Amino acid sequence: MELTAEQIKQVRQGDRAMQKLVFEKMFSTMFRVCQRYIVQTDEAEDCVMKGFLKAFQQVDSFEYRDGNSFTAWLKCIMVNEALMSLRRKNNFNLVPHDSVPETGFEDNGILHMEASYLFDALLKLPPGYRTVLNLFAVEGYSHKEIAALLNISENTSKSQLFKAKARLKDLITQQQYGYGIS
Amino acid sequence: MESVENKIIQQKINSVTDLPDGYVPNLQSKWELLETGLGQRRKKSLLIYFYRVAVAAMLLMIGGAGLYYIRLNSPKVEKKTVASLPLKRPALTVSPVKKTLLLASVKQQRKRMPLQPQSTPVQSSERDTMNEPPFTEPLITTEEIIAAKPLKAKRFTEIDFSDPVITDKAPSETVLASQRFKFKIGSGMSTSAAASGKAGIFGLKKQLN
Repeated sequence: MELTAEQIKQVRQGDRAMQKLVFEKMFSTMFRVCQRYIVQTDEAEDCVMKGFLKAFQQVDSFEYRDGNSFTAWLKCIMVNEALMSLRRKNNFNLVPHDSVPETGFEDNGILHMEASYLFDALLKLPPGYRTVLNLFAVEGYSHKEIAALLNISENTSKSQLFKAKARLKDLITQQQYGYGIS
Repeated sequence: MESVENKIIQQKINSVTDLPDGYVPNLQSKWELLETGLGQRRKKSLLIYFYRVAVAAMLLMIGGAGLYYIRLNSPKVEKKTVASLPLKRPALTVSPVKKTLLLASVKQQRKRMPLQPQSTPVQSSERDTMNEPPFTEPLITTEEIIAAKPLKAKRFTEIDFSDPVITDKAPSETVLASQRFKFKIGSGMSTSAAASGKAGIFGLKKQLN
């Protein structure tokens, strides 16, 4: 959803109608953002609600640049809420290297995969792999920033990403074989 | 290659925006819940603001009252005024002989002393030391100089004629000889004249009775 400056101004002024519109239009997108980190539906829903509450309370700190800037800003809030939720549960669960089996993967697996299948495969990854892959590949954080966010070393972040991709591709391959896709 | 792979992952994951199958949330109820949270938060923030203001005001009042109480009960320090005594001349009695000597030495000092005091002591030459004995100035203090200043001599002695003359005792000859009276309108009589009882220059006769 693209918001204009006037709409943002109304949200800032506490216009409940505009705030409700923004909530209803952006709920599904933000739910998917939270679900990438927190697989469980009810917990992801809580994360979304907390994120929206924080966003409407701190909307004065938002700087309008273009139509998509508010969506990007809201996504950042949702990601932070999800990470806080995982941190509270201590559920990063960085899988040791030895327990993950090394499997071969096809280079074009991800390229030709449907987005929803890729998303489902992402949800099946261990929490630690999933978190690092989301932060690096999807959100665009660097390994240094990921290390600071998750309180791990850069090397750990790199190895987790490598393992995450390998595991993802393995899952895609299994899915492809499972669904009979050649 | 890896960056391309990451971009593909990013695009595909971000493209998934619809809700998963089987999940249909009641957005109205969720909005009402959110609205309640927003409203409560606003009320709560106002309440917290007034609470903080009230606490600050109470602290100020307590502090002010405490300071006032301390000031009331503190012991007052009385200011003592010391009367300044009038400056008196030092009562230094100097005998007439010493007084004369002191005055003479002061005059000599003033003559010998230069106008500006010298920073370095004056060193006399060897010849001077051989021929002349060293001059040692008498140590004279400031008080002595002040005391030695001659008082203005009175030209006359005032006598109140209304005062009764005490004639209980007749003055003896020795007393008469040592005394010298100077009357207002004339000079004093000589001792011999006083002793003989003869009148003075102006014909005044001193009655001894």
